[in-house]
Amino acid sequence: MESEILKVITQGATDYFAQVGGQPALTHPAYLENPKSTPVDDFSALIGISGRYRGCVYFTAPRALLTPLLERLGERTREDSLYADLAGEISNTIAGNARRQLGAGFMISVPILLRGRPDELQFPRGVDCFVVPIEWGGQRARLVFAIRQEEAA
Amino acid sequence: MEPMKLLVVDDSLIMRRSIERLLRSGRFSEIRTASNGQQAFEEFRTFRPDLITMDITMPLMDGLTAVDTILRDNPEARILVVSALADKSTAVEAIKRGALGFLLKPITPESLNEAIEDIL
Repeated sequence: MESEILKVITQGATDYFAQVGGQPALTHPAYLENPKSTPVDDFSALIGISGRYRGCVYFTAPRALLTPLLERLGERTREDSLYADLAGEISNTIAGNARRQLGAGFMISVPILLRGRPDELQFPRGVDCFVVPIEWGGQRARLVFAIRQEEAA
Repeated sequence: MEPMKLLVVDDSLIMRRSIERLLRSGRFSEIRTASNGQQAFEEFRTFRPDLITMDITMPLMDGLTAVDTILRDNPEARILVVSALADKSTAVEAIKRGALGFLLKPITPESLNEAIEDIL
């Protein structure tokens, strides 16, 4: 199951950057990470997963990666709130698009915009935490997820 | 072409601004925005837009509930759902509730204009 989620989320990231950024992102092999030391960059947004799956996924990126995306979206202002909102929209789109393969039981929350590394960044216990490095425009973002499929009742 | 009114509903500021920017130069003479379903309904009642673009995953009131609420108030309202939720059942549900179209995020200027042309 983890490999299916990984494949779907990785594809979602590639597609997002291809469509919005004009060129696909290069995704690097995922690696396992200790939940206490997952990467957090300038702007991050977390999506909670519920339904037939449980856990969360977050997207974290440096300002330098998001700036050209904002430009492509027609934004000329450089307010932090816009960068944070864009991180939220990216995580929302990647998680939402994952439902094409994972189905409506993959329920997603509204994005929670993170500042730094908040205490509430808690992953479900006993679930492996994966990091997918995403390279685009010479910069590197990361998708981090810890998701398990609930056992059928 | 008669000037029309548009209501853009999305919890993402970037998306609201992006859709507004893409459509401002077209047939829409007046554009308003809302960041959740509840606010969308309040705007709808006073603004009476010719078209609504509606996100689904939003705080306070989600887009599908907002579609129900708006269409109960005015069954003639024209709503295009614009969402990242890519499963077929979500799109079917939106249409079943009375939305006239479903557009998957991320959007492009072409896909947005085409979806709107189909509805208007």
